This record gives sequence, structure tokens and C-alpha cells, in this order.
Amino acid sequence: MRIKKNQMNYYFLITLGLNLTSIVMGILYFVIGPDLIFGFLFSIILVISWFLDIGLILLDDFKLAKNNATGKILNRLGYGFVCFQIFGVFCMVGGLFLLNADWTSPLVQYPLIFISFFGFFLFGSILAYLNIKKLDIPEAWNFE
Amino acid sequence: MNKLKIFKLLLVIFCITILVWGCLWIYLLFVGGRQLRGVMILLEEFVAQSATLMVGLCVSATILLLKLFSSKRIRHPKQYYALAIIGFTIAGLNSISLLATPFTILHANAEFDEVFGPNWESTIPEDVKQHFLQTPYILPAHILTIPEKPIHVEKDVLFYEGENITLFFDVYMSAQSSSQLPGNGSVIINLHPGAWVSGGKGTWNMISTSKYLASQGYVVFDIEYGLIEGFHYYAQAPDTPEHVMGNFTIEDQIRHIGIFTNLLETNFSMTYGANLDSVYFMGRSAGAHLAGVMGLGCNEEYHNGTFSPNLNVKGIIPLYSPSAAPEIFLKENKTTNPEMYDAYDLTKLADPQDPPALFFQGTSDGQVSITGVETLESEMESKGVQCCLLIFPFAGHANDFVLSTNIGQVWVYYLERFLYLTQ
Repeated sequence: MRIKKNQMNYYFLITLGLNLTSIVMGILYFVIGPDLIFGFLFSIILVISWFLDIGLILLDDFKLAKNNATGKILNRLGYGFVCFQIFGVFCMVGGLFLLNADWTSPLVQYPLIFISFFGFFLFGSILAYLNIKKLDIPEAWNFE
Repeated sequence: MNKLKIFKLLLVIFCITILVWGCLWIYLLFVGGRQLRGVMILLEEFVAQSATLMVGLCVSATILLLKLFSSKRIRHPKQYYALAIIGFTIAGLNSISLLATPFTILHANAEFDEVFGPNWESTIPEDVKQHFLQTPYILPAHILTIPEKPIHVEKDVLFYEGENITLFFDVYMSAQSSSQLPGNGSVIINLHPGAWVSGGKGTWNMISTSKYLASQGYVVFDIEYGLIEGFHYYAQAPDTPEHVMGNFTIEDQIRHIGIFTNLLETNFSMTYGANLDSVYFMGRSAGAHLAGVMGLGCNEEYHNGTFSPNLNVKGIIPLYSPSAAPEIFLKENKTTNPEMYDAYDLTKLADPQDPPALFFQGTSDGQVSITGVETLESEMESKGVQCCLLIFPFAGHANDFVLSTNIGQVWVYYLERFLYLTQ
């Protein structure tokens, strides 16, 4: 897969931007509510950010030099991100189902949803940011 | 084997387990739990509601597997890419319920057009619409939930003591004055599921819907009724309280609900500000059958004296409803007393004076078949009852538990409009 360094830089920048936008819009959602136009825009941004985050992990897996110390750290962060996604889905399911039951208080239900949602995009932002920062270390990447 | 290899092996097993789980979800989405029975019937109730999140889970598990097998990308590329295709296909097929949402919306619109006319949406004033969901589905609400508005809930209010049972109800009301809200104090009597033999008010009667409707200005009574003991149903509802069990029949259950309607008229309407000129019976599964008997039977001679005559029933809302009672749960059977049997058969009770009905039904329901509900709807329509049937492709039984899913949002969007248009 031939991807140039500057192309990767753009990809990481867009991913970082959309992850941060998702976090901001997530906070705004609780102020504005399920508004039609805001909800439509937020839906598009959510889907694109999610796909970009998946792409980010796969891109790192393809392009990182895993025998290099920096490459190894970024690769492990990628593992952490995927594991967090799996953990996040369980939290999300738990939060959504508990929210509809009267066994627990909202103090348990909402944090499960928040950890999952904001944690996902925060993790994505951090990974994208670190990728941008470390892109200048040529030994950490396998560029053609 | 060193620790890292053991850890990686465990991760591989974990990811494969998730993908197998995803396959089971696909099976239940398409077929439902009817064939396999047992625990599948119960699992079916959660599948379509969690399938969208299962997409995320399967995608993550596939990526993790791809990372773990990244060395194979060079040495065995076919295996590597086959793994990617399998994983993403499982994830993709789990999104089928979400992708079917536009069909649900189109079908629901057609049903509403038929009953309320093609301009039904424009008949709802803008100041009312501002309280409603603005669109049938948005993804952020699915993930971050529909924000709750302040409501009052009063739990475990006693309304009947006798026959060795005690019956309670929970009441959900708006914290705001209901006259400023679309509900305007209309009453919704919510009857729980459980095959007439199990279940109870509260969690398994979808409290999120009760809370949502309360925030719209409806007074929602989630009530108990006596349950038939001595029968084991293969999909018993959980959390069945002991204090409602007795040697009852469906006639007794209707009588218990009738007692509640009489007390509602004499006591509770004043206490909770309930508007008796606008009353709805809503129920799920067996509760839907009872709601149907109450709503359609209130003008029948057979049921005279059972319910309060001063409630103005404006609609019934049966979710995944059986059309008739099993003979075994009635005092007499169809052969010995056909008149009595017909008094608990919704198709026989229907007449042109009956209020309109809004049905909810999933196509993969393993307990109440879609064809049964479609037949019930068409027979009721042929008797002159206005009916809207909302069909949810790939949804199973009791798939309205989580209000914010693609199923829950579409359901609430049309439910709140139905309630307003029929008030």
C-alpha cells in the first residue's frame, strides 16, 4: 500500500479533528437534545469518525515499524484502542439496558454510556495526535 | 509458551467467541428464537435492540484478530484477507435491523396516511410538535439516549386486597403542568407481559416508555393483575411477585383491571390529575391481549359492569399481541361456552364503535407471529376498527425495552403522534 508521509499526516489530522468534533458535539447533544439538523450532522460526523478510527488502527498496523521503540509504543496503543472499543461496547450495552431498568440509579447508568462514548473518541484523538507527533521519526514508519 | 503468547492466544479465543456470538445474533435476527426455543426465546428479546452495538463489537474483534495475525499478511495473505472478509461480513449482517429502519418508517407513514389521511402530519400544531421527537431516527440518540425530562413517579400504590393477593400500581406523571403538554393529562393504563402467568410492573413493562409518555403530559398507570399459578411457560417473564399469584383465570385478570378502572374514576383521577375523557389501554404480549379486551370490550354487553362506564377510551396500543386467550386459561372452553370465549377474542370483540388501535410487531418474533398480528389487524379493520400496524423487520418479542434504539425511537415517534391524533 503506497501512502506518502504527507497523505498520512492529512489523514491523522482529519481523524484528530473529527474525533474532537465528536466529543464537542457529544457534550452539545445533552444541551440541544435530539434536534433534527444537529442530529443529522452529528450522525454523519459520528459515522465518519468511527470509520477513520478503524482506518487509523489498520493504517498503523500496516505502516508502523514494530521493531522500533516508537513504532512498538504506537502499535501497542493501537491494541489498547481496539480493546477499549470492545470494553466500550459492553459498557454502552450495559448503560443503555440499565437505563431502562429500575434496579440501578442514573449515577451508574449514565457514566457507563459516557465512559464508552467519550472514552472512544478521546482515545482516538490521543492516538491520532501521537501519530502526527511521531510521523517525523522515519525509523518508526515503513515508507516506500 | 511465554506469557505474551498465552495472552495473544486468549485474545484470539476471545475475538473468535465474539464473532461466533455475532453469528448467533444474525441467526436470531433472521429466524427468531422459535425454532431453537429454550434460552433462544429469551435471547431473541435482546438481539435486534443490541444488533447495532454488535456491529461495533464484531468490527473491533475483527480488527484485533487482524492485528494479532498481521504477520500472516505477508506470508499467508489469502488467510489474512479471508479473516477480514468473514469478520466484516458478520458485522455487516448485524446491521440489517438498522438498515431496515427506512422501510419501517415508510410502512408506518403509509399506515398513518390510511387511518388519519395523507395530511395527518400537518394537523399537528407546531407548538405540540416541539415536544415530540423531530425525526423517527437519529444515530446520536441511539448511542447517547434520548435525554430524560423531569417527571414524578409514585411506586407501589395499593389498589386491591383480597382473594389472597395484593395488587399495586406505579404512576408516572409529568413534573410540569400536563395542560401545557401534548398529553393533557390523558390516562394510559399499561399492562405488563408474561403470558398471563408471570411478570410484573416496573422494569419488564418498559419503564422508559412510561417515563417518556409521562414527560409528554400523560398519566401512566403501570398496574398489576392477578396471575395464573401452576403453569410453566417456556419464556416466563422474570421478577414475578409472589403477592399476585393465585388460582385465577383470564376473566379474573380482566376483573382485577376493571376494579382498577373503577377506583381510577372514584379516587385516583383526582389524586393524580388524570383526564378520564381520554383513556388508553396499552399492553405487551399477554398484557396486549388484556388491553385489547379492555379497549374493545368496554362497549360489549358481556363485559357490562366490569369496567368503569365513565372512562372515555380513545385508543388501544397492543404490542406483540396474541389475538385470543388460550382456552386453558379461561373458566370454560370454546365448545362448552362459545359466547364466553368470544368475549376474550379480539377479532370477535371488534366493532365500528371501538377506538383506533396502534400495533407494534417484529417480524422475527418467536412467541407471537407476525402473520397472526397481521390477520388480527385485517380482521379488526374489516369490522370497522381503525388500525395502524408498525412492523419492525428483524425485531423479536419485547424489542421495545431500550427506548433509544432504532426500534424504540421509531416506535415512540409514531406512538406520540398516534396518541395526540386520537385524543
